[in-house]
Amino acid sequence: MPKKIGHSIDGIEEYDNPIPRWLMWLFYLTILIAVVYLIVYPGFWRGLSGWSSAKMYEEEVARAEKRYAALRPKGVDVYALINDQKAIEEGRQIFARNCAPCHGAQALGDTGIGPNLADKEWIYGGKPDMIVKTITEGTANGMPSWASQLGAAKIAKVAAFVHSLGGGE
Amino acid sequence: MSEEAVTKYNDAIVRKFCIMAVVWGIVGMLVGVLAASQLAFPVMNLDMPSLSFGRIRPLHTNAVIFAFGGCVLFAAIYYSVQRTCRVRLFSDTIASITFWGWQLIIVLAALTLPLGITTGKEYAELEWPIDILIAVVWILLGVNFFATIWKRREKHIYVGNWFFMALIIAITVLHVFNSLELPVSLFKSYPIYAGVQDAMVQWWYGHNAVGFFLTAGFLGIMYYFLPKQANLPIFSYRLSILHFWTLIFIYVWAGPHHLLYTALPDWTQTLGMTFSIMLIAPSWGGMVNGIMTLKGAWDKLRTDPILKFMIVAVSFYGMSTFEGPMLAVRTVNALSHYTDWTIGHVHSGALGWVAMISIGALYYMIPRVFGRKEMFSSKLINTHFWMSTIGVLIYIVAMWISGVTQGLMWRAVNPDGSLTYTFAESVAAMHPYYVMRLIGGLIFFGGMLVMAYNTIMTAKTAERRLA
Repeated sequence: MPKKIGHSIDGIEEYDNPIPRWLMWLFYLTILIAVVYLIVYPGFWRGLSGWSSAKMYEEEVARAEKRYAALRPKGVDVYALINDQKAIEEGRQIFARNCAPCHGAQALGDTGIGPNLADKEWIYGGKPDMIVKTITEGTANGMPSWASQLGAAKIAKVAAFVHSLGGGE
Repeated sequence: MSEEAVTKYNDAIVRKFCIMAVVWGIVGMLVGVLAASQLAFPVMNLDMPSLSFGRIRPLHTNAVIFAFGGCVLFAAIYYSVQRTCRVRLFSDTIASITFWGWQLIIVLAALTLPLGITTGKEYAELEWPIDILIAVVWILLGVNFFATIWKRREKHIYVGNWFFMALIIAITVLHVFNSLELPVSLFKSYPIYAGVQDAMVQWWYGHNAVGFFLTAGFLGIMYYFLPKQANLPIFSYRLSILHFWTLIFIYVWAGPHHLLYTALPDWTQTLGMTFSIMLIAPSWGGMVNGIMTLKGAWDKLRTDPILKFMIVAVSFYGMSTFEGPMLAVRTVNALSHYTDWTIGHVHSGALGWVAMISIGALYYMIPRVFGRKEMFSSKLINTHFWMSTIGVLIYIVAMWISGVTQGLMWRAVNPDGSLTYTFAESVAAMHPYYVMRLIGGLIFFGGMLVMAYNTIMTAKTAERRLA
């Protein structure tokens, strides 16, 4: 029977059992992990690994640039389409199927999701190539990238249509 | 014994806090169920700004943490400090002021939060006049508690009271410094901190509200009520000393793990992560001391539903204090942060640990402060136990699945580098788990109604016996 320490408080007694070994080893192990981590990563100073969250971000962006650059839609000249009524009409149809749910059937932004595209305000630029970029890459405000769904040719037509809505630069 | 207790100890104050703990538990969890239903079925926002999710959610967190948890802490502190010091409370008047003051704070919170009056700081939403009131009432609790300890007739200060001391001191410091703000009107103030410093102070507070309010406070409850209910000695005095000091020393550094991959400097983030990892063993010290106390008396668990509540609570405590440090690791956090995994983790702590140990302590105290030997129905305690356990399990499993799914959907990328899923698609994918969470929450809430009935019947039959 283990020893009790000599007091009883409101009837509660306490054994003088040693702390379980495994728990102490666990404690030492976590301290060791913490110290090593603080040495390798920014902690006590810059850290042996040279890691930083800013550097991690830059490296990931650079990696993505390298990997996906080849896949970027190219070779479609949107400037050639902005006066092409047939292309604009095709763009209108693509818009109705894909873009209208957020931007509204008349592109007036009346759904409350995507902004009005028929006015003179361009959040991400109103030049044809800027519109192509917005549709291709999406925006930080929640518009997804349409690159894989539409492809470069269709995006150029939609961009020509959106550009034709009166407020194009 | 009960008659002696009535004259010797102030149990009237404990009775009041116990009743309000049950009441606020029901209210707070009902609001939680409403919030859960709004996430599954947006129509439940009822088109009313005051009942919309953004306002109901802080009402839920404040109600369950500070109204329910707070009343449990007040009750348990006042009940156990008198018995472990063998003296009546230092001041019945101060005790009464803390009761009515705390209830006033809760009512003010219930009025202002739905009206949209908020500081916008998580777990510290209440505006400056209420902040001042909280500080006053909390310090009065401290005065009453420390003065009772001072005049104790027991040489040794019991381990449960160490944790209550840490709770009272730390929460005073955290609340006061996080709430330093410049009022611009009666209902609006701005923090004196700006930018990333504000975020840092906020999560120093937020994390240690968990560490001291929801951990140290309820460990104090465990250290008194578990050995009392089991009628067994604490496993290791040495362990209680070590895990107490390591826990309170390490906890206060871990706050920055809430701000990984933000504008907070990298070294501060690393500090938060490493101290979180070092918290595993000190946290487990409490679990080990609780579980090992019952070693060799497992048969009691078959017959005693109150003990079941306590031991399951301690087990959930062990589980979520392992999960927490894991979520604080940078690479895990990159996936888990901003997902429902966090909500699941919080609830395995809040429902599994805090609510279950609270319920156990309430079932211990309620009959005694009503002058009865035990609750009206032990069977109903058992029913409540199973409802709580099943409810919390459904809840956290739903949130694990939905959290990991969210995290994976958000980072999924097509071969051409575009995102595979829109955000709205990840929301739609959550629907079944949100319904599942609602069901789990409803079951847990139902258990509280069983408790309310059992409490009312206990109080009623006690009156008849006294008459």
